[in-house]
Amino acid sequence: MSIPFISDDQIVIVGSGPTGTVAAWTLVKAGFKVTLLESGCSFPKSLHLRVRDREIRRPYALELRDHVAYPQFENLDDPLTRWFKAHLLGGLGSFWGGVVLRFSPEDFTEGESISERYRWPIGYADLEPYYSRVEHLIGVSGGKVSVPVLPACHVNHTLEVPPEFSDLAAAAQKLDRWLLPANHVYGKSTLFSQIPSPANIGVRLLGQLRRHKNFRLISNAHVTQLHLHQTKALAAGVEYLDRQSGELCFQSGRAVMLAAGQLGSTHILLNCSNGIINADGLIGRYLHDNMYAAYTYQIDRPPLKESLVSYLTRPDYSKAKPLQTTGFQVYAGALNQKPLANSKLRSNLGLGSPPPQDEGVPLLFACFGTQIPHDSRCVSLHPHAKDEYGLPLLRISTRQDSDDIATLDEGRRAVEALMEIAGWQFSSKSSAIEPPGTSVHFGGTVRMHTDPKLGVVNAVNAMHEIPNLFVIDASCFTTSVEKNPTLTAMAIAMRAADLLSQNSRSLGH
Amino acid sequence: MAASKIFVTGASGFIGQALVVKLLEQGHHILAADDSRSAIDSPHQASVSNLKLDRLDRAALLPHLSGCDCVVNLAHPHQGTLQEQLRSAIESTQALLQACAEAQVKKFVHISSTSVYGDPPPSRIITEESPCLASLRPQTSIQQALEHLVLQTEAGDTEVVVLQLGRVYGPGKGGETARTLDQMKTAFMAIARYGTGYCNPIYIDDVVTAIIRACEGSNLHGQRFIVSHDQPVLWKELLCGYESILGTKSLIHLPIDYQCDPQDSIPFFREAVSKVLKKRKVMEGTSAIAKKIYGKSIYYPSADEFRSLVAQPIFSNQKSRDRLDFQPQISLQTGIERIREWWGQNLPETV
Repeated sequence: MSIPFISDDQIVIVGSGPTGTVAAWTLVKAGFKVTLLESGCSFPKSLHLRVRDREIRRPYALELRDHVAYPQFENLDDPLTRWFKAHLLGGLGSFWGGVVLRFSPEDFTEGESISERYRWPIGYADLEPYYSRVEHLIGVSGGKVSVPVLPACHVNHTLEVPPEFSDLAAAAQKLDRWLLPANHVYGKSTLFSQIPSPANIGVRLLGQLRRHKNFRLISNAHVTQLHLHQTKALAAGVEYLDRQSGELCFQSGRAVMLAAGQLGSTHILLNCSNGIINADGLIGRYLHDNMYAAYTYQIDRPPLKESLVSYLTRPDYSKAKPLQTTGFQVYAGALNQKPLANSKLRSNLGLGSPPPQDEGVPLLFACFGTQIPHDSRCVSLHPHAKDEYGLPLLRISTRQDSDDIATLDEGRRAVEALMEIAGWQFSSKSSAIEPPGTSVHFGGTVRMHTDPKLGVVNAVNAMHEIPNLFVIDASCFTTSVEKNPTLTAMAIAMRAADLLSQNSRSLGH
Repeated sequence: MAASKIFVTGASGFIGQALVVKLLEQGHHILAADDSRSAIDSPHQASVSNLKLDRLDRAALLPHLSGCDCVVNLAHPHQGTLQEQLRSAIESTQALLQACAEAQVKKFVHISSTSVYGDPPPSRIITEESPCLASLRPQTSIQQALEHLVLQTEAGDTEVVVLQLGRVYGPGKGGETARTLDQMKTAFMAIARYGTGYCNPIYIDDVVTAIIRACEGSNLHGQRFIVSHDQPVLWKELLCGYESILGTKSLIHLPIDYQCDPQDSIPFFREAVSKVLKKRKVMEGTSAIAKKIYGKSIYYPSADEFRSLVAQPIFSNQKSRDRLDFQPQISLQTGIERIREWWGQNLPETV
């Protein structure tokens, strides 16, 4: 193994997705030296980020397609389980729909009533300042109204619910839900249906960081192993495969932050399980997913036209079972009846273009449901088979059980009740519950918990046993929340980086 | 094998027909079950009983299965949404297995595919011990689930064997060969990385032999067998073989790996066209030009197909050699010659 660069003043971040870049940004701005390792390419050559029109198309799409990974893994349970990865700068953020939603205070506390193991070590108050900072950084368009289940963001552009949805908004109140404009990144006229996402935070923030003297980006670096300090319980650095030369390299650092995306960080940690890391076998357990279902209706009356995306919130906390609820993105005409995430990913991954749109404007309720993170859903390693990077093959064992299907079905009944109350004439066109992993929102496998028996990382995202090893992507979530997780994951990453920079003197070798 | 009673599901399919004809020649009595009924064409009609089964359920199956020596499961779901297909496939296979156990059928041969090792499989040597990688293609996921099911389900005294077939080619309606030939006849076909991926074809007669060996063999319970050549065959060898059968130029060799927008292959196609036409300027869409000049459009494989076109897996048939005494006999050249003969005779029908 060659050791090209040794320095102990570096903070090593693994992964250039939304969380990794936000942490890098925070640390560089605080005066730290950061080395960011990305498995994919460097800056895309022909990247055009045009936001106000929808002409972001081919040059980037082609570039993207070259770097999309079809990770090799084995399904142990639901055979249709999907796992997506992206090997490129910006990571899976390049496929991000751009929906920005804060978790509400109760989202962090409602699990406690079921079991101690669903207790988050942080609360809304801890994250609030970081939510604001992230929102300023990325720029948000959205509504300014806070409701009990969804706090408002700091918005640059204020959006209103389209007038033709006013009946629906009034009806939602009767069902203890709220219909609000969907907050999203960037300009007011951005429609989410355009993918590759204009919201590639990775590329945008790193573009500003790339010439900073304290920042170094190593691309084509696929991290395979963590190295611990020989005597102390501290991380010493990471070993990575240079995908271009095929050589194994080592990068040392005073702290290591893993942000390798859904199941990516978990995979790295599982690969270096030893007496210290994963002594209790907790890593990989409590996997949860944002279940995705697409309910499409043909609306006969009132006439609808393609419009901005709205968000139908979950019901009030008193009206739903804890950790079993649904929230919806409401698309009028922006998409055809093909399920959102599926068609997005499908067209991106080159799996064929979406079918032609039929006549009339359909209304799609893109339903995201929570899943109680049972111990039985987990990821593990294959005993002997390896994947294409020489890491042990990942095995995913998950399925949607009857409770989960009931949650999604309850959501479908809720939207139908909503349209009935609003007096709309509608007929169902399709309702499809998609297999696990479709929403690309896996989480929970390296969960936060104050108790080392129940969680791998603590309230500042450091591993309980190794204070300078951090996991800052969405795999640290303690429970699953029906809201899109990216903003919260970024806020958590920024908080972890910020607290690290404040406490840095206590770290080190 | 002594004359016996064999139950075949999916009997009207490409492999099913070939298998039934062969079994009839050997003097067996066949119960041919399928949801779409097209009668088996054979001089031994008397030994075939056709069953039309829309759904396989245990009660309906039991009377037919009693006295059967062997069940060959070739059925695969093709209707409904993904979840429906998965559910119906699992339910009907489970029912079939249960019924077999109750009727004390001696052997259950489940036909699967080598794509269970990944679709496309990783480019390395694959044995029966290799992991089954998850696939984006739902049919593959379903096959993986079924294979897992038949190997895990308690099936009484019934001996369960799984055969994993490579890419089956050969003359006959409904097969991949006929489909590809039809496609190449009406359209140009773009192939990636100059067709240097491995296609691992196996001739239909070899497949039938392997199935019959699995029916005859003993002490095979719970085993999986890869049925494939262990020498790699390149995609371009197979497709150029097809091209020679058709006698027209149909392949466009692209150096790139992944599917690209049809627009992006214009430069490559232009080059190919300009080689033929030397001077003509090409300004229109490629398909339109192709149509105008050659009377053919262009077929662009999907991303899935493209990825299959570039993968280079090698399937080891060591285990089927040792335990089934099976080795593919028919080389690609022989196979292509037989297809040429069949294609010549059946030309008007397939058009």
